[in-house]
Amino acid sequence: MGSSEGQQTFCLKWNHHKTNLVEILDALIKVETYVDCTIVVDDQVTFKAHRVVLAANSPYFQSILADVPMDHCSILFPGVKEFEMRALLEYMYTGEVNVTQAHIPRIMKVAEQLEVKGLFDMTELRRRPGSTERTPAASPPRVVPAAPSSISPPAPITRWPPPPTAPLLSAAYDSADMNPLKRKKLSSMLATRDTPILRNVLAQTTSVDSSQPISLVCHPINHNESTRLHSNDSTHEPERAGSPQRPFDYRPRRLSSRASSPHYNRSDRSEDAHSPYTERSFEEDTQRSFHPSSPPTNFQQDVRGGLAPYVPPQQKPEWKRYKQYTRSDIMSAIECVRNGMSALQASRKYGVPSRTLYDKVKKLGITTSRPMSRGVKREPNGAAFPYGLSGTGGDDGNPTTPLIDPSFLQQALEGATRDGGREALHAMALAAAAHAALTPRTPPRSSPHSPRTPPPDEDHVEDLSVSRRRDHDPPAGVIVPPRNFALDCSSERD
Amino acid sequence: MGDQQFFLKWNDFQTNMVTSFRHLRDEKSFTDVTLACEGQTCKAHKMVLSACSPYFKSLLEENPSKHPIIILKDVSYLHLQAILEFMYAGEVNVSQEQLPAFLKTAARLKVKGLAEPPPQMPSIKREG
Repeated sequence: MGSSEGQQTFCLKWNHHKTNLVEILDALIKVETYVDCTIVVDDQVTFKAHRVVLAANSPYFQSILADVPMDHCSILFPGVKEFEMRALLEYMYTGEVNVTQAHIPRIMKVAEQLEVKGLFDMTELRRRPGSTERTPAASPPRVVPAAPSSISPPAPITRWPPPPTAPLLSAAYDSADMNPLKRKKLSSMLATRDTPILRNVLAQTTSVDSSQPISLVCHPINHNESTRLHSNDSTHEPERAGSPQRPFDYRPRRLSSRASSPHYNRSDRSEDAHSPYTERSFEEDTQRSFHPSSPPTNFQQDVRGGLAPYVPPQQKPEWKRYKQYTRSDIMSAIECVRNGMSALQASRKYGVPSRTLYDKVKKLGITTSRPMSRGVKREPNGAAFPYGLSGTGGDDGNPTTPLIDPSFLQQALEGATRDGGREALHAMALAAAAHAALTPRTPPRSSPHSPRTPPPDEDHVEDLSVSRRRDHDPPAGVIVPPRNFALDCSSERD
Repeated sequence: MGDQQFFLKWNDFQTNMVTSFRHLRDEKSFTDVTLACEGQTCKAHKMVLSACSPYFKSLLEENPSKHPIIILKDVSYLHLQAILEFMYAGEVNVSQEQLPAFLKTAARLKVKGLAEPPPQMPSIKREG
């Protein structure tokens, strides 16, 4: 296609990158490789370390080391005992350390002086001095305000610049084609077990979630293969590199939430109810909601009203919408449901993602007055689809048809381009995503599934995600073994 | 003739040395050691530190390094600066309320002239 295609940026993401990096660093210090500073404490005990790590863990070190150009520097730390420094180093490299109660005060004192993040923080003192073990979870997310748990902060939002019109269009359009392929993938690559493929691609936040082992996403690739659209060679390769861990996450950057969220919701919702990911605490839920698309929402709602939230703030980084609802919101919503309100209504009333609410409710064992319909049957979605999309999608009969018709899409896309209407773009993205999500999986909406009863299909999916996940060898053609990849990365950094 | 020695003396030698060192320190020229405390750092010269403090001397001797960074525990930055000032200039102004703590710190760092037991107590003048 046009030149716009060529410029499309893809985000290759490896979900385990952080973990691996940390592990590697820890391994490196153990063998004293690439160390570039020596810390000397009392009794001439020396520790070798990486300045990068020290600086990363302590603004104090950061400022000290900033203007030390030496290849290797010595840091003399008279008055500090060996065990203190050892503990701190271990903490800085692994995020945790076991110390005896007796040592805590002294270690904390040194930590305080060195401003070791998590143990000392000028702004946020979340530490619990009594605990003998500190985990990353306890560390104040100094840089990343929204990471209450050990889950690392979502990938930088900056990587999603406001999408230029053309690429967005193409991305949206592409995604319509991608599903068939994805399907193929599922069956062919056994390793690619779970549907979160899509979810990962799309839902930024969740992809980082440590609970999701999976990350291989073949977003762009898919259409590369399956369609005539465009070829992006570089992206092609990693796609095949489905390692067992599925380290790669592909995502066209521009797709971001707009195009992707509906996608995500749709293709994954069947599994959501039963996948391990649904077992989340409130905290996690909140975090998920960080990303507009992450809370699994009922498709119906997505198409209809649910769209609305996605449309206007298109350019906003996902995290801006993190706080869409508070805990009390969801508590109130749950209460309403308990009292007989439907989950959908309650979700609207309190601005809580319906899907999240539903899961909560379900977990609490509350029966909803009207189970949310999962999707096949759609209500008039007029408002959500400008440019006439709504009209076609409006009747209950076969709403998707118009959406999946490529020519129709194309037409709408062109219209959108012409008018430069973002909403149109968004709608298109949605439509494409919807198409992608629907097409492969079920024969076009013939029989409306009831919402929460796991369709057979769903079980299947779950199976993939849970049990097959680790059982299978990586598909042939693994290009980049994750480990090495990480090693490379870290060594380059040192 | 050949064995006659001339005595060349620069009367301002000491003054010059002091001024020069001070100048070098202000310019951070040739500094080869970084002292850090309370999250702040200042640069100094090993030579001066070693000359003025057996503590630093042994510390630096034990840890030969091109540019070591010395993190001082329990030393206030204010005092550190005063001590450096004293080392480079031979004098420093310290407020009375700071004086005890300052001297204590100086003693810990074994700063000559401040820490050593009184053979030659520095004269403490009251100013301001």
